Amino acid sequence: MVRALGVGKIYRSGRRQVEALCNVSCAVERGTTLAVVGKSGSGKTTLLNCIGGLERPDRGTVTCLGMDIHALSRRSLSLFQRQHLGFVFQFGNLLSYLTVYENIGFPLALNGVPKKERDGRVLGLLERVGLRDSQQALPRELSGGEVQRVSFARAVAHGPQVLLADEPTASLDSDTARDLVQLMLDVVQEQASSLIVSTHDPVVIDLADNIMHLRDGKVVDEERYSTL
Amino acid sequence: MRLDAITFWVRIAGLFLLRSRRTTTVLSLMVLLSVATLIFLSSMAVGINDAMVRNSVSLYSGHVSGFDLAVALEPASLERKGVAAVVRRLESQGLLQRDNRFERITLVTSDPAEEIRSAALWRKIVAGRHPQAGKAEILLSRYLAQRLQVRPGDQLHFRQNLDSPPVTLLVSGLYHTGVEKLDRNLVFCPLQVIAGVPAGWSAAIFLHDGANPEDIVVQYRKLLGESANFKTWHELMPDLRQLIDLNYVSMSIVIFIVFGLVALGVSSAFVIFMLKNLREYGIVKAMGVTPLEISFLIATEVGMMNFAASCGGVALGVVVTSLVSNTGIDLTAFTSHNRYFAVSGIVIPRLTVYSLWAPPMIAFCFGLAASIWPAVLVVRSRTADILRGG
Repeated sequence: MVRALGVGKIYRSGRRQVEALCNVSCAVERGTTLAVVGKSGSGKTTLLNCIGGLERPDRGTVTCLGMDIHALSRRSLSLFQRQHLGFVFQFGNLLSYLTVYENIGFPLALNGVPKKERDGRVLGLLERVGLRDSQQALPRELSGGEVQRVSFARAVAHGPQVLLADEPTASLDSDTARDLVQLMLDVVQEQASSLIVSTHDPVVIDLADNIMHLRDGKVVDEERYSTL
Repeated sequence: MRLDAITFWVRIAGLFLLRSRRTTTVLSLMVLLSVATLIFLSSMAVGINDAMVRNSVSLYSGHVSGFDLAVALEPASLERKGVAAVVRRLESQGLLQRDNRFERITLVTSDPAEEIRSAALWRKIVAGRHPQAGKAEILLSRYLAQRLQVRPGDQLHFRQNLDSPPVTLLVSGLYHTGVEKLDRNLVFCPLQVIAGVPAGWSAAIFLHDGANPEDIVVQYRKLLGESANFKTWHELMPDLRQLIDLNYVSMSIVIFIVFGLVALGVSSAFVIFMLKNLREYGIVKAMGVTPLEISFLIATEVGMMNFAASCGGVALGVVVTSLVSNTGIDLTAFTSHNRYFAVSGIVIPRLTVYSLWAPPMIAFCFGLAASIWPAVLVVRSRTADILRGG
């Protein structure tokens, strides 16, 4: 479903060059979870960005659902992202001027889901993440855990086939983190999506099907916890 | 983009503006005050032009002047929609004599009551009074009085030529307009004082505000034939016409310059606002919003804000202009030596279609232009860079 092959990325800042990713390859099949593990600055976020089309790698290819996403035009990539990908960011990244309800409904509206169906799905997700009462709240009125739950609900609202989560539990306490991870895994399983999650949270690592360790942009170890 | 997509983005833009209340208010106020100020300034420019025209034509000539009109033609037959008054004047050349001093003059005979009602020359009387109907009195310029060494109450003799019998006239008053053409050898006296019927008469036609003199002339030519000799103030006062055109051009340049500067300020503020919210555009990009949709969203945000602020600006501009036009602004201190303000230095600002649509239109266009840079910035930046930097 998702394949990265020989992906390399170099950041240039003046004369300085930092190799964020060096010849990284991975594959994630439908319905499975890959945890990308590593210290801060190891290249986890860069890898997720390259896989999600948010960043163009300098080397290698990323194939997502059979498409070489970096060969697509800007418009085609955007349309691909809106239909097939979902992102959960480290700090939620909700749209500050939209309510919880509107944030979750945003990708559905983008995909042209009719209002009635959209309302049903948003309310269902709000129920699922336990924020039914906060649907009219603005992001600034939510706690960190609530923001992450809304961010997750927004990411899965349109039923994406690939879900990318960048350290989703980094800013949460362990109980909230465990609840969120369990919820993510449940929904991903129900939707038969693939989940790629960058983390150094042992809770996430424990529950992932596959684990890839990155250090200084290089794969240092791969573990397989369950058969594909 | 489909209609439902457009509706969706317009709604998102509206929510963005509504919920970024403080920033929207500050940016809108800049546009609103600029539009209102420019509406007031352009209505002042129109008011100054009006005052110059009013002063120049009301003094003597009227908005339209008719020459060599048939004696049988009654002034009432020249009354049309937009015409405020038609003053009949009979002109004859002649000599004014005081002792052994002679001056060649143009004697204008007319109905004093009509002159006072329609023209403003009587306001420029510096000594004595206006001649009265039926009395053998004349009003002459201060210049002529000095040349003939007369003052109000003195007697003068008028004769059409050296061989004709003199008519004795009493100097009722002296005038001084500051307009050289009027202040030389023009002398006024009531009708029927001078014997003999001139071959034709002249008409000074005064119009209501907003009436177009060219349209009136067209109507007269339809009535009296194409050869009828009517001239608008545009033809009789080309210097004033040029001055007014110059005023409009310079006002338009001012409007563009002011808005250029305001637009620069608005766009700078908007760019700062955009940079502050850049992360949010990165988020929508990550969710798969296309470059066209992002550009449309940004343009809609700016457009909506400008539209609302411009509407407010138009309303404020109209209210301020209307309030000021009740009393006018007295600029006599700056116009007292100006021949285009010979009667009154009061300027009454007037709204025109141009002064109403130009400022908001320019605000809207400049606002949209100001949205180009942020839109290009968001579209061209990589989503990951925006999210990292935001």
